[in-house]
Amino acid sequence: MPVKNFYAPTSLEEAAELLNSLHGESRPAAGCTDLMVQLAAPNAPETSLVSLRRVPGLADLREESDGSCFIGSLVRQSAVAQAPWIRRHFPALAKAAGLVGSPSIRNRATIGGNICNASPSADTAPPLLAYDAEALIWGLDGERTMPLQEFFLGPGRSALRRGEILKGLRLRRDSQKRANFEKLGQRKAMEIAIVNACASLCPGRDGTCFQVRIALGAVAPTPIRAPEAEAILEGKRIDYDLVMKAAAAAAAAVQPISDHRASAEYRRRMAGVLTARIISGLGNLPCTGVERWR
Amino acid sequence: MNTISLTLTVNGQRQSLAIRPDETLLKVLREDLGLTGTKEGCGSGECGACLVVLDGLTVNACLVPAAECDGSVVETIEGLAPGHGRLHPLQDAFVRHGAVQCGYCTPGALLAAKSLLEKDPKPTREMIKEGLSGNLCRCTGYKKMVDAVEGLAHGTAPPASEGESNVGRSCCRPDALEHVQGASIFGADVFRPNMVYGRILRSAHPHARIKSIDTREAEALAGVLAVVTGREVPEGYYGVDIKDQLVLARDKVRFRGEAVSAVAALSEQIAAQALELIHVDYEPLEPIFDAEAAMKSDAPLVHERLSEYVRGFRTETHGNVCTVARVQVGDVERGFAEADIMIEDNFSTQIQHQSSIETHAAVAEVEASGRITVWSTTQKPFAMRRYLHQSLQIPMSRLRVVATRIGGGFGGKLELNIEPYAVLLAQKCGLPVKIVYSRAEEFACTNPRHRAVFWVKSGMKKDGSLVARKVRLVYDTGAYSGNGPTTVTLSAQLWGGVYRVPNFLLEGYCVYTNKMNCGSMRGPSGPQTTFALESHTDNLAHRLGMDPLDFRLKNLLEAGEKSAVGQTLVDVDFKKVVCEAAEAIGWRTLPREKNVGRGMACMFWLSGGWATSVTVRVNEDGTVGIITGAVDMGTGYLYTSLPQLVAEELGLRAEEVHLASGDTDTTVYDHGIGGSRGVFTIGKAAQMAAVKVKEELFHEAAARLDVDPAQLEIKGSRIYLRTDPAVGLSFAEISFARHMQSGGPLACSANYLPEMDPIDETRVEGLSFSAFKGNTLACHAAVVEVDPDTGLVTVKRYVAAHDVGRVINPRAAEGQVEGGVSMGLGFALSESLKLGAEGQVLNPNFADYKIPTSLDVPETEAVLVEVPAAYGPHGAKGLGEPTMGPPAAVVANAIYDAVGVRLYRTPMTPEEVWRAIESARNRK
Repeated sequence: MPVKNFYAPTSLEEAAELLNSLHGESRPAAGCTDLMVQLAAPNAPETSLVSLRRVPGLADLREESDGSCFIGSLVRQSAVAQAPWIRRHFPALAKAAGLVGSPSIRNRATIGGNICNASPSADTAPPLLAYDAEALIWGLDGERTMPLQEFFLGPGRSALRRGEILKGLRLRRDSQKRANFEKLGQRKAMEIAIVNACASLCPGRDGTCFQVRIALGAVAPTPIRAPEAEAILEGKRIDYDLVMKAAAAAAAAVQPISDHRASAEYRRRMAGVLTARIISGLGNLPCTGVERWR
Repeated sequence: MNTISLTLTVNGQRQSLAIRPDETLLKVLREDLGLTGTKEGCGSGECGACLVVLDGLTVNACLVPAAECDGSVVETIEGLAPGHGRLHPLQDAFVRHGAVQCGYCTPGALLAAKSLLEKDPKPTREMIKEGLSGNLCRCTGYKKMVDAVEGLAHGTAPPASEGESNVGRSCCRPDALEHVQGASIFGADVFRPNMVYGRILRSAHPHARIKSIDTREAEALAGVLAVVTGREVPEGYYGVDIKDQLVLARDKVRFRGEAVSAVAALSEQIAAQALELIHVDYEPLEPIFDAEAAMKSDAPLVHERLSEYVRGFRTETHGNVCTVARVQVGDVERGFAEADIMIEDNFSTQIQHQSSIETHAAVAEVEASGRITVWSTTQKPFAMRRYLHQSLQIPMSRLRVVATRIGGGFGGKLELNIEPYAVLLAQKCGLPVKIVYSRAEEFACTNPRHRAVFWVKSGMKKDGSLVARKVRLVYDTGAYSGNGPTTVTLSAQLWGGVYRVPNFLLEGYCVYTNKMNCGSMRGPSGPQTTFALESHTDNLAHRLGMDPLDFRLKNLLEAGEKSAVGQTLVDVDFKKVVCEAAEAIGWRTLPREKNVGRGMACMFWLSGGWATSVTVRVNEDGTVGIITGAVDMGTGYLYTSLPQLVAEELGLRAEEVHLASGDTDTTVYDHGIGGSRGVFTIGKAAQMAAVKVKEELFHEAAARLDVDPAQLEIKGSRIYLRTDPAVGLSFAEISFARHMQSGGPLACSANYLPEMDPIDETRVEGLSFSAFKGNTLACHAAVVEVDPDTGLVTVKRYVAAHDVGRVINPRAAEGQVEGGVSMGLGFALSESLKLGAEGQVLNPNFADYKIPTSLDVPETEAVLVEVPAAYGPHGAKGLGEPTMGPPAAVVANAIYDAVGVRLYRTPMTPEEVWRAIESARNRK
């Protein structure tokens, strides 16, 4: 493993300054479950690690007085999966975090690492997108906030600028919101998703639904939203035909690749199937028999 | 590079050390602190072998930068037992439940289980599986691990090991006591004074001529001690059936990953750096990857001098075809003419990798006298010594091979692989050299299961009786023949060994391509052949509208009949095995549910022979020991069955019998473990040696008591008069007197080489051997559910009936079945070693090479059927290999039953199943 130096800064300032001055020669380190694998790859360039684990506040998990919730970058996936208020208010996120890797991976892997790694298949990305999460970014020039959707630029590429650190994620609590997450893989653990998906919506009194969000992973260069599919459902009463239309729109929205894990065609079709299943479930329709959506 | 000072508390002890920033917690624990109970399996957090508890949380130590652990508290397997010879209750439960096989994943699994129980003292079975889902186990199929945790948590009594008898009793493995404490020494756990590290340069081309190799820059690198290339090595060709391989490529590389050069250096890092400084000038040649394309006359030749290679059997060869096998019975064309119905099918299978959680490892040390000791993870220490002799031309008297504990073998550690590089480097640099393969290397070059394609046509009468069958099979053996000819031979025997087909013609080919060479993986040819044969069998039954169970019962061979190669089947009862499987799954009474189906499949197998020698001795104090050159790759036969068989003869309890094994200097020849021969052949030799010892004891006692030996009994380490048990002599008295006064030590050896069964030579051509004794049948059945939208297959129930001849240790036998089914389901559903356009492995890791996890494996129900074999000890037959043969066919047949589509390729991944369902829908 080509690690030249190891730094353990104890403040955001110190961490940001290190990352700034060692730009191009250092990597921020959180749970290291992806980073160490990248560093062990043949021909990985030599780098220094700037561990964020001793920076205060990054592992905080708290409800703010304005009703929003803060999940620090360094919060472990097992803590995300188990935290009672995440399970209550953001169950789809808890479910996704609980499906990352294995128990011992989840004890190290962090939610911030999952996001900053910017893998198209990151399991916590679709629920965070579906819950309209915002990324809180800290840099030497100050703090900025952006919708998570804008954070992902491409495989392994995020909107973080030189010396910037993802401080955490902010989510708005909404007791009306219903959401679910689904992950398709060959195994029930230790899986990189073939496709993962999350949808959320607020049911209206008359059976219609609002604020529909559909987010998909492993089907494009970044985790994506499927706005056309959302628009089909927005303000409507969910029925079987509408679900099929939304699923077809979700499948049309993706730009998957073919690789040794799955073909583009299969990923596209499964994006539709998972969308149909989640929306059916949220609309209290039977989840099976979605094969006719095409 | 900076040094970082680190203070951490490990198992309650404060440790202060200086480390480098690139060290992982795993490296610090294993190498700096000598805590080798924590294992490395993959180096990327995907197997769980290195799981430790860090500040109260389970983590994969290979992913933790050690520098980050300053002030941390670490708990490893060495800290689990309370000390004073006592075990932690979980360790005890693992031993008693038979949850330990090779023991390599055991430390990690135990710590995961402990952490789980601390969080939730009364977990459900599902929660236990979830808790163990990051700990890959290749041996057990997880069931007994889950049983152990559940049993402890819910206070159920551990399974009994009591009883008077030895044969048929589930006694515990003594080696498991070492495994659960992390005390076992596996290959990578061997450390020698002044030891240095070796790495191997592997070909970057699938097919190329080597024009030159320039090692000067590598040799000049500080810390490099030796560099070797093919030119310096004697031209010793080696191979199982065809001697076609050299240790280091000389003129040509034939697969991407072939060894070209090796380096010894002060550290693994320096050795890795040095590899990049070796300049090989290649002239790339056109590669050939597809076996059927390689059979064409204009295909690029993998071996130009095939006809000159030394072969151990007679076969025709041409082009890239290194074996042409033929089996002919009756007149197949006339048979087809008589048939009412004919069906043709094509099947293909993938490359499956053994994927033991322990990678290959070897340490070689040259003594001042020039003698060389090699510690190795080999399944065959004696054969390894011979292979080293053949390939490096070192006299066997100068070689000593010591087998370490093996962290899973499954045929992957049978042949020459890592060992010669350690020897060459140790000879050149004069220091002990250790080489441990990385997980990626393991996937690139360690003899996985052959990919095979099959074409089969069968004709039958309207009543379902088979009249004719023609089979063409092609096994892709990769760059070297490896175990290919034997695999083709086995496949031919399997095709002709289950059903009665009066007119039969099989043509089998073993073909070179520019892939890694394939070898023997657990039941070579079994899963491939069974997938094709038994899927085809269901197609035949369905065409007739006949229940697949009835179709099988109608056509199964019976004892006394001949298989296609002309072997007369004895000591078998195929129908009984099939009926027991059908009954266990409830074949005739399963309710119909949407998208749920049932399937069954049978596999014919054998009990491996080959030579062995076992010595049983009575020590001066009357205790008894076994000495054997054999090793145990994790199945446990050596530590359970052998002592049980010896104890049975000598009136002892198996737990009292000690064992010494696997060292070519101190034990006598054994062929090596594999081929389901452990109990059948080595066990038989142990029993024979024990009988001889017993005769000697009786003889000595009779002389001293002045009675006839026929009047004597043996029990409780005593020989006594049947009519007056008070009159007798203890083993100690007899043995001590024998040692001191007459005839020397009381030790007897038995050599055993089960003779091969004759076959009908007029029916066969090009087979590499005739036939083994101890034939057996496996029949598995399952209920699966198919998700038609995604193609995902869930195995809901699984039963596996095996004719084991006679059960020696029921729990160990169940463990073989449960683990084999898990591996077979991996072959069926998820495991596939994939190669890219340049012959590179696309998925050389456990994230993408998908071994089933604890959450993926069903709770296999083992059904042990006893049809005793004349040659096995107490009638026992081999069991290890056939356990993984049927699952792919079972699943394929159940998918057909569930959703009406037939899968013709393995693995049946969700995408493959979905595609089959889609094309069926589109046809409608």
